[in-house]
Amino acid sequence: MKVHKSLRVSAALAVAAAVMAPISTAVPRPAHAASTVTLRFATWDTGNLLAFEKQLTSQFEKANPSIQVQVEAYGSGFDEKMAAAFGAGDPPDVEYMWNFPAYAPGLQPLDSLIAKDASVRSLVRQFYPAILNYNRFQGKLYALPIGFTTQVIFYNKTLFRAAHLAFPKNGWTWNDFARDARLLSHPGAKQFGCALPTQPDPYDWESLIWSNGGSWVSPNGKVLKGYLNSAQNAQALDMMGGLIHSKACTLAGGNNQLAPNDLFAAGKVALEYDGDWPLAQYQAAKIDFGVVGLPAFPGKPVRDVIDQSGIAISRASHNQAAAWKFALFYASAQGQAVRLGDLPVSPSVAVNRNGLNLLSSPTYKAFYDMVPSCVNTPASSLITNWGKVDSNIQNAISSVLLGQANAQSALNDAVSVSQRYMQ
Amino acid sequence: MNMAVSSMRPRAARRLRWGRLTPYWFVLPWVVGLAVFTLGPLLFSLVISFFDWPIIGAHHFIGFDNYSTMFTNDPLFWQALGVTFKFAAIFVPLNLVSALLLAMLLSRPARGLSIYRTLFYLPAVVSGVALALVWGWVFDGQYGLLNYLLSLVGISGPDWLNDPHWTLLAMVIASLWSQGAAMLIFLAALKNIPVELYEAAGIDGAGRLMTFLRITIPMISPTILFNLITSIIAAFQTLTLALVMTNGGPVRATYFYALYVYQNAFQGFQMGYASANAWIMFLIIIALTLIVFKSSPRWVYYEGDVRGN
Amino acid sequence: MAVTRQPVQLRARRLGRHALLILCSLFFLGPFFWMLTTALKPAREVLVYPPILIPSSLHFENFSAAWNAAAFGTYLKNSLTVAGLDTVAQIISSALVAYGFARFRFRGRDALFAILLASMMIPWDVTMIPRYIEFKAFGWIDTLKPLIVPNFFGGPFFIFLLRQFLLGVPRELDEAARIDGANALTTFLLVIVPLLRPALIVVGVFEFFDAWNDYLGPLIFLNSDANYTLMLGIAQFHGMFTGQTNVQPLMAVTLIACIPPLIGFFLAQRHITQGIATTGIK
Repeated sequence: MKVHKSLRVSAALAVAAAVMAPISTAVPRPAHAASTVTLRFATWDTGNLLAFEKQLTSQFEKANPSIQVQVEAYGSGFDEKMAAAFGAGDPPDVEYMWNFPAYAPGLQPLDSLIAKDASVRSLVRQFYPAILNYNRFQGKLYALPIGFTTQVIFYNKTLFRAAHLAFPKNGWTWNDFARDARLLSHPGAKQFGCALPTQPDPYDWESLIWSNGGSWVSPNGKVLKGYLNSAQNAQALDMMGGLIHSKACTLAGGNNQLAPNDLFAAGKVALEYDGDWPLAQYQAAKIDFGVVGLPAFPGKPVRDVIDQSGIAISRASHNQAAAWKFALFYASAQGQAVRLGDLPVSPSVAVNRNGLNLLSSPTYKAFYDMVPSCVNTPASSLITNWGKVDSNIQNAISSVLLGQANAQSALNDAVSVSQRYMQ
Repeated sequence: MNMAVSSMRPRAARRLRWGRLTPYWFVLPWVVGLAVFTLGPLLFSLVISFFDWPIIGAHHFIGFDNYSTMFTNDPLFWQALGVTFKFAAIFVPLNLVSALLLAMLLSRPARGLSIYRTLFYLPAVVSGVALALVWGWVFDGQYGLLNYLLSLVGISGPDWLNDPHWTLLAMVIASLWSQGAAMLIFLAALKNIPVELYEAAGIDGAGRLMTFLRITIPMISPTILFNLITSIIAAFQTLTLALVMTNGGPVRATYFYALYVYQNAFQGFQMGYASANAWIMFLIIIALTLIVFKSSPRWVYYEGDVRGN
Repeated sequence: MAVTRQPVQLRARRLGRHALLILCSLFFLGPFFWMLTTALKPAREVLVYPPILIPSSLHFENFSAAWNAAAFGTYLKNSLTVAGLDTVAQIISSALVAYGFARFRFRGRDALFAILLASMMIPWDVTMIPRYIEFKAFGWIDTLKPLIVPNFFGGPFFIFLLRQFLLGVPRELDEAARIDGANALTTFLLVIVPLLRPALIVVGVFEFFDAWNDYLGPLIFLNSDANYTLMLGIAQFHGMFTGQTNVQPLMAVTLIACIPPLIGFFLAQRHITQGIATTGIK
């Protein structure tokens, strides 16, 4: 019968194909001299950021003909890929990195490499010290900084003008913020003063907590009780919860749903607490927006946190020298100038990136102005089991924003549930 | 035993046994695959469940600590179990019923039936981030499509993804939408029922409900069993939707057990603990499946089974 | 059917059925429609309230722009290779194994079957790293082999499915073949396979979709761009941080990626529903 014969034939073919001919469809690499090295470089960037990185990479390859760089773009799958690769002892040579406490054993410390070379030492000295320090863990430097942001407030100028309100200025307070949000909120028209994420990142919100004089953990990173559930923290969170309940602010999904930045880009909210990630989105959406530093709690100094990523070298890499070369190139002034989607981490580049002085540009100025306020060490660098504690803190904040609990009791719960992660 | 010998080869005399090794040859591919690809990783995960095994760094043997911590010192374990059981209790029956009804709808002749069949199965074609994004937009409380449509008929929809009481339901709906598989399996099973049975019933004067209960259901009962078990397994292994759409929220209202394991592995970086979690889930699913199987002789009817046990 | 009914009732029932079919179709089609309009809208119309259901202008260039943003042609080829081979492999191997479980009584059968069921329930995240290590030892990392080869050994889901099907089918034809002197393999090929045809097509469709939509396997086992499958390529439009999701290209390429499985399904579904007529039971 025809059916069976064709089945048998295709079966035989399939088995033969699988067993006899190699199925590998990797593009055969062009013949190079035996000394060519291929570097695996993993990044989480997408879109235009990724395009800049590819541009940078080809510049590097032109300057270093014996090194080929394989760019591996994993997008949101980056964490999983790294976990699998590092866990199996087969990591890329060079990669973006942010989670130093977890990955430190697999990364090459850079201090000795830096000490060896005077020109490298002077390159490293050029970074903002506060930013560079975020790449340290337990005293060792594991990555060179390649991009950063601080938390700022974006405001929609059009909406402000329509409500005849003055634009926010550095030095403003949370009372000003609350008042502005209330006046700009028209729930009936689906317009709100601000949008808060339902599941905020406790790392970023530590800036809020610090500004009110509190912190997530004790300075030595060992004690939660009395710190995580301090009265100042409760006050700060209750304030945010109050903004939601008075409908001055709305809760935006935040996890692949309509996030606060999406609402801001759609012109639906007037104020947004965020880093620099949505900048390109707002520019593309042609929103007339301004950027201002974080508001302060009355009488207290404002504090901010740095989100930065570094480029790190894997300890298991067989191409240490080439990897180091690439990392240096990436973090150099030339590299920073190409990556237009990131904020430069050296003042020298920031004052003149392709003719633009970012420190005085109205769009970028606020990010740099907040850098001096980043004096505290984030809890993520202090607590070894940050991954677990962080999700409990997030849960506490969520329950306050959702009106399920007042801040004090939510934080008390978070302390008791997280206790077992503190050794 | 009928020893009538056919006029053909001697082999016919042994016609009730085809060689004792024959079945083993047929099952062999799976056994080999299991041994090579599954057993190793499985045993590895069992072994490391007795260790403190961070993804990178030193490992320590800790005996049953992971298991005892899970049961006595980790409220998230119980929360995740609770959410998952609740989801399964709602999803599994709804899935079976809706898949069967849809399959029946598709099994009768109608104009353009192939197009409808393709449309109904369409959701199974799409997966991944794009789909989760779309559901996020559909279910958004303020600006979403569903609440917009509801507002057109005067209903003010809840904040689906931010209200803990409604989020699980949203996930059930999203999960049901993708379940073309169960429907298709039922369809194939329905088509396999010999037409003569229905004709005989018709001659006997049986009504539609009678026919359904006495002929359709028993004839597709093996398939019902299959879909029941695979639905239970799917409910317990729901990860992507929870991860991408809600991240377990709000306030862990959709904190599925699979998400709990995933977070322990990739945010807590504790592969040992995550392995222990996974083995417990494994045992739970086995227990549930056993219960279903044990009950099956009472309601599952196999036409062509090899009896004897 | 033997019982006669009034023509009015018949028409009403048919109308009712059509209404139901249409209603359900709307439910299933809804999100797709949303994806399509999102991909076609001009950028400023993507996120507005009230939601814009019909775009003011259709931008088909969004599709070509998205496709050209990365090596999607290569990704498509890889996806077709993997899914195609997987489908053939699963159909053959799962059928063979299911026959063994369904039509024979042998020592250890029930125990093995229990193990089979159990193996369906293993979550991937804990077996992921050891599998990576194993494939690395074989030298298969960054090739398509980890995605293809395991499928030649049967999949528990499909074996279970086919076994259930087979158990619901009477054994007369088997016996007839046996009386005629056929051995097990011949019986399998000449009797069982035609009986199983609708189910085999179902298995083929499922495996094709599974392999086509697989994201985690390619993510974990593939490194270089030239080996990526379509799903992994699509992920390039979805970043880790807010504001980094390129929504329109994401929707556009996801929709394009739906087309091959859809065509496959449309062609296959006829065979699934041909039912008893061609299996020759009576």
